[in-house]
Amino acid sequence: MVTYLRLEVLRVLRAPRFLLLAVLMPVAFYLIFTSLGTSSGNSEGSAAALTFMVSMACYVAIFAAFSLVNGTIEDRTIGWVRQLRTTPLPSVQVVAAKLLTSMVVVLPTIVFVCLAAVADYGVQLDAGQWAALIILLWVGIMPFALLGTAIGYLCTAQSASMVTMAVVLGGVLLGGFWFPVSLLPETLQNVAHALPFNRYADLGWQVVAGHAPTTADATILLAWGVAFAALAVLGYRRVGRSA
Amino acid sequence: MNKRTLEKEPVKLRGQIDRTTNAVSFVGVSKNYGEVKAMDSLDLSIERGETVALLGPNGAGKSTTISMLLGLLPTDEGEVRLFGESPHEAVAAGRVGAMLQEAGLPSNVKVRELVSFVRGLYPEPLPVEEILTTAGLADLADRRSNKLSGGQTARVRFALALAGDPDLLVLDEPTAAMDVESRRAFWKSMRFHAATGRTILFSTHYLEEADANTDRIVVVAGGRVIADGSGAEIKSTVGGRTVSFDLAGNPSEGLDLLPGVVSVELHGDRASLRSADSDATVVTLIGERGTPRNLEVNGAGLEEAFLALTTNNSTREEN
Repeated sequence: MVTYLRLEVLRVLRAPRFLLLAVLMPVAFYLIFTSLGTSSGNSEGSAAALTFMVSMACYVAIFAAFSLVNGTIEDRTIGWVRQLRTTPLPSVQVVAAKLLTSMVVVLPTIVFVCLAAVADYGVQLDAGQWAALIILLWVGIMPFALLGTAIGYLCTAQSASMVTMAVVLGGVLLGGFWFPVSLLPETLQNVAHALPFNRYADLGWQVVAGHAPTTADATILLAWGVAFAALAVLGYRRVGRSA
Repeated sequence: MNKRTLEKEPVKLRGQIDRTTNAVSFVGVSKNYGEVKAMDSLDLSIERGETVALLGPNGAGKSTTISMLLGLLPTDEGEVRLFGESPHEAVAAGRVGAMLQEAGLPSNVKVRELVSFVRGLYPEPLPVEEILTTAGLADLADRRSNKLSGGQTARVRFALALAGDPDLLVLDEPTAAMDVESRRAFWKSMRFHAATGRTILFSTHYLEEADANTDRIVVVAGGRVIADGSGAEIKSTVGGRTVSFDLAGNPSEGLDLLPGVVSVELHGDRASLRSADSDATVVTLIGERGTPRNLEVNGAGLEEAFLALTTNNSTREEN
């Protein structure tokens, strides 16, 4: 698996245009949203600024986690994935390597948002909190990265961008990134709590509020992670069935 | 396993029916895509060390056969075994190397990196330098995959199939994208590989290519094996060559009695004779009728050959 991971990471690092898009696009979003955010009254170092920083970090991380979808679809379309399936490399390891490659792309975006929040709003956390926040947001991205991998193996280029858009926009709206989940009608609140988006952001919100992440957050993220991993493995194993 | 396949085995299979020693064994394998029968109770067995050509027109079921062989496609009915194992097990154990049709290479990877990566997945691979040399890639080792020509890409795909030094090499129309020189180098290394006792299965739609590179040709059409034998046997079954000429007003009667002639077709003033022995046909033709106008002798078109085989096959079925 390590050799496959190395190959995939190497490919990402060698595609500057891709990296630019994967990392700079979320960053651009961050800059746009923060300029809106400032005008709606996030005062320096306030709890609101911390909450907003976490929302933004989650948002850009999710964005980045889906950035490999097109590459996977391309690999599949040209027949490389089919060729890979004829080698002894186990499907679980293929998916694991894809997951870790996505995580390599995600990490700098999370760190960037945190640095930017310090610079813009002077947010303050102690070293332990920073470490916990970054690690949790990084590890917590796994379900999304696995969903992206599954989409890459299962969707066509056309359907993938629609699915990705729907998932990210829907999830972010329901997830309490722009307004608290408590403002939603009760049914939607229940839906939001069952989906991974709000749970993911809540990992970070708990940390900046000085709490440990909740078991419910971890459990639900894990459940989605397992489901999406299974879907990704299934998707990989289906590649090559036609023709 | 159903009774029907058991009854069919002795009739259709060549070689031993022994799933533990055969490199490849298809028993009563069927596959449908909706209403279309892509594979119709196909039986095929290949012994270890054999080099076999899978010959057939497009849509005959060659790619379906290869996909099933590699475990990429599940069967609807019947069983596929490689070295006595399921295709999935054999692939996971690194016993199979494949060169697929139109398989592209991942972008932004150097040839050497790709070869090293794939060989690293197999338990007993060939050395990197040997793979590169065999596939004619020594000079291209540091080139990126997206900067290769079509022929060069085909050579890399061949290198990837070879890299793990597999017991069974499966090549789906391997020479389709190759230039003449690459082809020659390719078949040379194939012969070398076969000499080491490896089993090779390749598909092609060129009878000449199949005939030149193996002594066993399996012809598939309509998702079933319709002929299985040496190149000479296949050719004689279908009438090896076409002898055509202008009748120039002469009668066509008696042409079917010329030596070697299998069938006679008339297109206006032009006669086309399919012949298993075109030399004898032409000599006798000239002896009896003088030199005809616009005489041509061509290798039998494969389309015609398949047509003949398919027709023969269905007639035999009725008996």
